[in-house]
Amino acid sequence: MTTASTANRRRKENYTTVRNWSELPDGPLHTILTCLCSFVDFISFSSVCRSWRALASSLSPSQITSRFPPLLFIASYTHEGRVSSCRVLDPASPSFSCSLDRICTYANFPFLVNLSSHGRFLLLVGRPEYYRYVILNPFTGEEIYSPIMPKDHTSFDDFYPTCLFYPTYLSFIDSVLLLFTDDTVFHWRIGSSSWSCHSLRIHPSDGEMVAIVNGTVYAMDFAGRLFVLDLSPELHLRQLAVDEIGVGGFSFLVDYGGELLFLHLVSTEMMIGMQFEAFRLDLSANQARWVKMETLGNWAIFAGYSTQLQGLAVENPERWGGRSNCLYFATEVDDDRPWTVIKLGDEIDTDTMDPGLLPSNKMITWVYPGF
Amino acid sequence: MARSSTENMITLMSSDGEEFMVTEKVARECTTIRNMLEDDCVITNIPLPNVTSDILSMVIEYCMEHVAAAEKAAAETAEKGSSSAPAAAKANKDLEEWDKAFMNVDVYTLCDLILAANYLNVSGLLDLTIQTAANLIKGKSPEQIRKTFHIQNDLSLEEEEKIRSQTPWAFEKSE
Repeated sequence: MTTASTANRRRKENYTTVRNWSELPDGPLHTILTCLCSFVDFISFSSVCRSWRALASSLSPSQITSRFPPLLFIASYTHEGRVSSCRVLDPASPSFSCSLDRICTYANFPFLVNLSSHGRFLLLVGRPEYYRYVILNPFTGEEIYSPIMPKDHTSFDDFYPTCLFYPTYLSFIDSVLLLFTDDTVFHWRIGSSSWSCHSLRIHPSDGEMVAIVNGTVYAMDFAGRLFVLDLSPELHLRQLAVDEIGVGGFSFLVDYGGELLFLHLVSTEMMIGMQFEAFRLDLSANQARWVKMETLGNWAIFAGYSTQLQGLAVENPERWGGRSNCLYFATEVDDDRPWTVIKLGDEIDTDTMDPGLLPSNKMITWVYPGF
Repeated sequence: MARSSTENMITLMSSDGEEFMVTEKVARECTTIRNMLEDDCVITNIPLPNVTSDILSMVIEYCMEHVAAAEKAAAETAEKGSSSAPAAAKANKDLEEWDKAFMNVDVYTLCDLILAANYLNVSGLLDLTIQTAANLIKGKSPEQIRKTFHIQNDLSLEEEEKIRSQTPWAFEKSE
C-alpha cells in the first residue's frame, strides 16, 4: 500500500504504456488546437499526421476564423500594374513574415478583389464578350477559371461585390461564387459548366456590401436597405423588413460570431472628429431590428478600405496579445505594422484612415489563407 | 497541516494493481471520482483501470497540492476575517510556480497525464497539461512538432506533397 504522503513522482525506466500523441482522443486534441493562437500554428498542427489533420479538417470555417486573427496581405504594383512583391504578416506572431513569389508571375492585373475569408482573389480576364473570372489562391498559385460570362452581361465597368460561399474550410465542395451587379446576381457553382443568373426585381442602389452569416447571404445597399439572397430552391433576393440604417461613407458588414453586424464611420457628436458605430441585427423578435452596440465585447474586428469585403471578427484577441472591443484597420502608415487599432466609439485620427493616403500601387487586406 | 482522524480515506487502485490511500477531499478533486462517491457514498475502494501507478501518483500529487493551497487560503481568510490581497496573490504565484515545475516532464508523461486528467476529469490539471502541449506546438514547423512529440509521420508521400503545395508559404521560413 502506498500512502498519499509518499505518493511522490517516480519514473520507471521501462515505460510499458508509452502513449502515442497521434492517438490522443479528439476531445483533448481539440482543446489543444483551440489553445493555439495563430493561423500559422494551426496550419502546422494540421500537417503533422493523419489524425491531427482529420481533426483540423473537421472544424467549420467560422470555428477557424473566429479563433485566429487573419493574416495581412500586402501586394505592391509596378507602374505598369504588375505585381512586384507580395508579403504576409501575422498579428499573432510579430516575427512571422513571408513573401509570396507565385502571384508575381501573374501579369497585368488591373484589380485584385479579395474574396475575404477563403483567401482567394478574383480577377476578370479576357476581352469583351469573352470575359471570365479567375479565382486565384495567391498562397498556392492555384487558379480556377469560371465559364465565360453570359453574353448579355459582359460590360463590366468595375468589379461588383462578390462573395464565395463555402461550407467547409479545407475544400471547395459545394462552394458557390456570387457576383452582385446593379440588376442581376450571377451564381456559379464551382466546377460546374455555366453561370446562372437571377434578374433582380428589387434594385439595390449604388452597389452593395455582402456578408455570409450562418449560411445566410446578406447584402446591403448604400440606401441602408438589407436583403437576403436565397440560394435554394432558386436564386431569390428579398428585402428584409428592418428599419433602414443611415449608411454614411465608410461602412461594412461582419459575421460577428453568428450574428450580422454593421459598422460605419460617422461624425462624433461634437462634429469634430469621426468614430465607428456598430449595430447588431436582432432577429429574436418578430420584427428584425438593428440594435446599437456600446461595445464589441471580447471580440476584435479586422477591416480595411474595401467596403465590398466582409469584416472579420475574432474572439478573445487577448489570447494572442490583441485587444478586445477594437477594430484592426489595415493601413499603410507603418511599414512594419501596417494596421491601426481603433477602439469602438473612440475618436479617430482621420489622417491615418484617409483612403486617399493609401498608395495606389499597394493593395493591403486581411485574409485567411485558403487551402 | 493536521488532518482529522475521522476524515474519510479512499483507496484508489491503479491499472497495475498499486493502491493509493487518499483523503476523500483529495479524491473529490477528480470529478469522475466525485460523481462515483455521490452515487454511492459507502464506496471506499475505486479501481482505475485506465491509469498506471506512475501517472496516478502524479495526479494525486497535483490534487494534494491544490487542495492544500485551497485549505491554506481558507484558513488564512478565517484567521484574519478577510483575505489579504498581497498574500493571496503570493499564494497564487507560488501555486503557479509549483504547476510550472510540475510540468517539467517528458512528452510521454505529458500525454499520459492528459489522458488521465481527461479520464478522471481533473479540470485544473487538464487545462495545465493541454496548455503545456499547446505551448510546445507554438512557432514550430510540422516536422519540428513531430520531433518534439515523437509522432510518426503517417502521411503518404502524396498527402505530404499536397500539403506542401497547399501551404508552401507557411513552411518556407520555419524549415
